[in-house]
Amino acid sequence: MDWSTIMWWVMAAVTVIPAVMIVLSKDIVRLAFWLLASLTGVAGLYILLGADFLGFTQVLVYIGGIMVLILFGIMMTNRDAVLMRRGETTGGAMLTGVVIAAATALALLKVVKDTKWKEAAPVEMPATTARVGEALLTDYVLPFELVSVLLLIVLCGAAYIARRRPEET
Amino acid sequence: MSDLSLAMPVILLTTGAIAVLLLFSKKREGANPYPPAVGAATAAAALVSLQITLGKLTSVAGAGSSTGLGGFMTVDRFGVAAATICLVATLLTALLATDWLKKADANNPEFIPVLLIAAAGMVVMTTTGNLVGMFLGIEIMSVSLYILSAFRRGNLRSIESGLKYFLAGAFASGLFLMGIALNYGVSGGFDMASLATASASGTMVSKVALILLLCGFAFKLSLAPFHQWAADVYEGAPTPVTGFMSTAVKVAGFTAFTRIVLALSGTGGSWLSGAMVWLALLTMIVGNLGALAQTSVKRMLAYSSIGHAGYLMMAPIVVLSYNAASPNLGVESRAIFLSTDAMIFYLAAYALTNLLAFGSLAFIETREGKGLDMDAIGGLRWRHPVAAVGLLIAMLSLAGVPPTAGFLGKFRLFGAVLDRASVTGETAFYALIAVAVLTSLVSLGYYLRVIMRMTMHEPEGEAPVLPPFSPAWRVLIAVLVVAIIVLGFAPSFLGGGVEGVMSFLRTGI
Repeated sequence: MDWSTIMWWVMAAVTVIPAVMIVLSKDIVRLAFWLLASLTGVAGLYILLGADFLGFTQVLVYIGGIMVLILFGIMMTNRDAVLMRRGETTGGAMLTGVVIAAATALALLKVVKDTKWKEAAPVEMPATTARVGEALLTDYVLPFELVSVLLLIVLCGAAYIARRRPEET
Repeated sequence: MSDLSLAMPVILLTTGAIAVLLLFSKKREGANPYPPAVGAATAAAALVSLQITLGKLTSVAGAGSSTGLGGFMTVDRFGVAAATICLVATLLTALLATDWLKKADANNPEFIPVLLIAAAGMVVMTTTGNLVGMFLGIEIMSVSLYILSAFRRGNLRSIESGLKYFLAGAFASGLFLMGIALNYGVSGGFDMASLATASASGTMVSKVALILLLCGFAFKLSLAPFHQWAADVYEGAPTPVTGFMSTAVKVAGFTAFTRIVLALSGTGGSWLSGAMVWLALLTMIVGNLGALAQTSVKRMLAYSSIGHAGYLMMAPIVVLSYNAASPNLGVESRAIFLSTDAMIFYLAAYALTNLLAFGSLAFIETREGKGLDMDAIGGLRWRHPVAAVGLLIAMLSLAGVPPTAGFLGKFRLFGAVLDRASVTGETAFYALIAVAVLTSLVSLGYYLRVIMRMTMHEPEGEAPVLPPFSPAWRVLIAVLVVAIIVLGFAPSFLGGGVEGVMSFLRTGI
């Protein structure tokens, strides 16, 4: 096993084990921190794939931005520890869930194994950040600008819907 | 032609939206007549720039389309025709909403910018040759419409409508995105040609990708059984918004979907048409039977628009039946031309008609302050003759009664399918035609009920004293009525229309 394979397994473990813990943990703050670990693992996988820019963006946006948002959300809304409710799932529902999950997993595995994916020969990837930046302002300038329009309208709509109505102020 | 000029309509619409936001956001008290005017002017400017692009396109000999901006813009006649309908719908919505925007709980300057951005998304959807561009267009349009549906923030039904639309739409976007990702996995590309590559490979994953894309579109276009959200959303949304949603979204959605199907036709993607036939049949039946049971005019029109989506779905099915191995390729490509041409005409006729219907309803709603159930339009002929004429023509056109645009739309669309049925001899096409004609007959039931209510039920009690309505609105309704009748008589008004009908008459049944 070479280095990158070992790192891949480490990163996969860092992604999957916390993901399982997210489902199992009860306290929402713990859950948020497990999510943090899982997202870090995904960032590591991106970097291993040679997508360093995507990896750093993952760190910045998900770990830096969204996690802080979640923690702030918890902090501002609840003083007591928030616990997930338990004991409402009956045995039958649990069994159905397991069966469906297993069937989905089997189907996915079969598809992944049987499909002839379009593969490219592995090459030593140069750093992508500069190339991503260049692509965004040349070939991908239209989608790049369209994403800004999308963000603008999301911002505008969120502000409009969340703003106090005149009678409330 | 420079790359940037291809994206000019989008740039103009976005600029107009930002200008309105910057200029008019501060003034919140009292009705402001400027935003709708600026909105209409922006849509008109975008229309002009679109036609200029088209003019340049046709002046280059032999050029059917022009691709630029890294392949994200593919401007061709099909896309320009659809984008034109979307922009006309935007313009008319901006004008028809002027009156409605004066209402207290709608009096906000954000309406027009959001409307314009939605139109920008639609232009991208109709004129892009790339799945990522298409996804971005769909998202921009959808997010704008979630906002517009919930525009009456104080009204619970409106908020419910926005929320339901958001949840259904987010789910559909997820399916669509997953389809794009799987398609990329097989073909390594995002453009339309990559769909053909993936489809030709015939792998399971490429099929799953197509099914996901189909389901995503079925949600957005409210095809049964993905239609459950539509009635509540259409009913709860503000009436001018419902008019916009039920027309422009359908135009953009069907165009984008047909573009995907065009890429697939002749590449072994025909297995998909079985699913599409069932979707179309089910949609026609559910939409038209559902409409029969409604007591609210708005809800009835929501179901009627589901029914119309079922009819429109027949066009992509014909496109997909293109047989590359046929000895007579002229007949095959003619089928594609006829069906897409008929679809565009149907969409244009349907857009004008539904805008007229919702424009008249919005007027009645703002003037009388009552809901829009069947009683609200009782005796309308005596109270608001102009609105009553508008609704009358709209209902006749929706039902497909000559000499309205709706009749010719149905005639040409059904004709294209019948043409195909006689060429291929497949039972699926005959089944589609049979169900389409039968459900059209059923639809007469609920459209005529509206007309009966308006003209035969005398108003109860004293006729209320009504505030006068603006001459501009009267002119607008008159223009729409005339347009629908002119299109019904002289379809060449829209360009290349008569030819389709003639060919139908020539080939016979």
